[in-house]
Amino acid sequence: MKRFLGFVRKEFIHIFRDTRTLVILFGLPVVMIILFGYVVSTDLKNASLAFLDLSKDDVTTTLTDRICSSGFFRKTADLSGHQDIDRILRSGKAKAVIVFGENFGRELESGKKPRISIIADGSEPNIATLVTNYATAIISGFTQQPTLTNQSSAPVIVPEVRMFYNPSLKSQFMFIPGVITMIMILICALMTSITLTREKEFGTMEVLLVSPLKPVQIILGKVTPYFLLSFVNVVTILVMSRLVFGMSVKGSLALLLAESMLYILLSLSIGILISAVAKTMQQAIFISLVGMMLPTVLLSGFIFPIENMPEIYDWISSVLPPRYFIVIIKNIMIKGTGFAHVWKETLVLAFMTAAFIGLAVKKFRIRLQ
Amino acid sequence: MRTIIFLIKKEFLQIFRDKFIGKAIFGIPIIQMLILVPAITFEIKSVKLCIIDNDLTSESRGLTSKLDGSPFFTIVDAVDSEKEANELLYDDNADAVLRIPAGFGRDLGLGRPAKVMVSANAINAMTAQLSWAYLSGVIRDYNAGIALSGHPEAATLMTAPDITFRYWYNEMLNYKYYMLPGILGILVTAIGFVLAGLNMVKEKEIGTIEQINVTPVKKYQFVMAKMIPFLLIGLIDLAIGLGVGKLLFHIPFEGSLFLLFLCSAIFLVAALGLALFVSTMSGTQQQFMFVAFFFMIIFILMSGIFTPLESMPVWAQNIDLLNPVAYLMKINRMIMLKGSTFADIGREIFALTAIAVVFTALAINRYRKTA
Repeated sequence: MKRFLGFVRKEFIHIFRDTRTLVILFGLPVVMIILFGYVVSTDLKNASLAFLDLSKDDVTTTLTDRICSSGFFRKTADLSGHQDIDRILRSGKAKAVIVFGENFGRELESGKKPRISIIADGSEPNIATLVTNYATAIISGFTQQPTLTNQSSAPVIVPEVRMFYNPSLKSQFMFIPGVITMIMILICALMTSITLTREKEFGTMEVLLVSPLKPVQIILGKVTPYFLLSFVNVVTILVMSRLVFGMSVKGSLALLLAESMLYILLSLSIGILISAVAKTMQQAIFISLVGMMLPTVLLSGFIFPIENMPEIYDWISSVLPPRYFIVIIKNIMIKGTGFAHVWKETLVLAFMTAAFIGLAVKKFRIRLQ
Repeated sequence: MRTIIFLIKKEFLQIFRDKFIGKAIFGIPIIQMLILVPAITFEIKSVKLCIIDNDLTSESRGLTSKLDGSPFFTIVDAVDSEKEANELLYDDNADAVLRIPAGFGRDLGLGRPAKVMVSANAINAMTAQLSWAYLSGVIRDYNAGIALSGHPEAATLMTAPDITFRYWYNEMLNYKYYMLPGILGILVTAIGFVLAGLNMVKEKEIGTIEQINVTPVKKYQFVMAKMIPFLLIGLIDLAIGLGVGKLLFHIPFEGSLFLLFLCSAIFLVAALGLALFVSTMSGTQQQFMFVAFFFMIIFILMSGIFTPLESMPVWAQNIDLLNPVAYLMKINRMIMLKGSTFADIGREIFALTAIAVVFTALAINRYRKTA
């Protein structure tokens, strides 16, 4: 035990000696939270619009102002004819062009249906959909205004909506669990696989193997510091989400931390497995970064919900640990559910951890070749 | 010149000597592209809707069947109480609950507005908003139906203009067309960035760089020799990726192929220059990796690959002026889908070139032949 502790201390010294890595290790979660919280957003804001106004009357002018003052859009150009539409969309200076038909105001007043067409740039489909949805809502809201007073007497269905778990529709509820999930799997897997393959590549592993330390102790000694550092990272993210976004853990904090530990353990075991397979650091980095980064971000349901993907992805993503952890963390943090709701996912993670460790042990060579 | 060619030869030998890396360079991006591109969509396939019908009249059933007929909604368990419905939401067995209160049919019959209550699981705010938009669309249609069936009062609500949509360049809003250029760009970046930087640091870490330092090889020659192999690999990866995209996903290619490769080459020089610059400042591969990871995450998230750039605050958009990946995303999509020409993206190309020159110059300048 004393030997083991000495080994762990040596590893800690290695880590703390390299201040730059340490700064990034702790800075990365902070930067990511700021990025997702303040910078990157899927909402529509200030989308550039061009207008082709063929009637140029009071109604279209007011409507144009109304659209541009909504905060969703800003006007970048007034077009003079249909031939300009392609040019402006192609240059990317407008996301969409709104075309008011001729005699717009007159037709609207006389109860006819004037024509508006929205031509959106489909090369960015999500923005195109948002632009058309929002613009339609603003236009309908504008033209229905005079009749609002009659509404109470008309036999129509008036829906009322309540948003559960996230009444103010904040996007933080999606990304905080995502950030934890992503950072853990990348940092843990990357760090462990690098530190283990490094010993192999430089031949210092042989030195360790002939020492009185058992191979299990070597591996445990290597991962223990990273386990603790990652745990500190999880706590940092939780504290930040509380302080910066006022998002507290609804369910049991102890349960959440316990699940996080399991997940860190899982990520570390992936790192050990990678290092058992990879011969050089370059290979280890290639697998853990180039190979794992995009699938972790895209297939775990962190940005894109798995339900919306084609059927087969339900199967493909079921081998990805982040998918389960995201479910667990969302349930505990946001819905406040207890263990009874997440035991299945926990079991899957525990099983995966055991499987990865088992595989790594099988692959790990303690003899020189 | 001959020196550079020899050095490049050496680099290629070293890269492909490692069987795993040799295969992974081409295998990983193509496999990932094939798997990831079809997966990504913001479209909602179906919303699991639970209906509590406390009214049980022909009107309430009419609304239910209307929702059932809509492709967006899958009606799950009809339950009687709100408590049961909330449990369905809690367990993720329903995405939204629509409650039709008693008296709904009677109100409509008497010509009064009738209320319905919708509760949605809003953890994913975007999905919740979209499903709410679909639901209100169906209700709007239903209202229009009432108006047509002889309620002029309701008809007054309907004097909306006739709004038509057109989506240019991607008529059906196919997400694959949107994601493929982006994902391809990121994979090419990741490979070039990681490999080139690691290569340089590795020479430092194992000491072989000193052997090069004592030769008459010039600084710029060494940096160029580290850059060119990965530039070529990146372009080959891009070509394979485009070919696969064309064959399997039928990605349209409107613009000039030459322009796309030119821009990608400039971009790769920028990315590789940055990678080499970072690696001149790192002592170990681990250090390089962390700095590289840090930059890559920020560059990619701020590149506009998943989210609109215009939604970002102004200060972030200004930072993005230095982000080569943001230019790449824009240029790739514009050339491939819209057929934009040099005139449309000239500004971006100049900016990218400037970034490429600055990063490469920094890398050459920071690289010290004397230890």
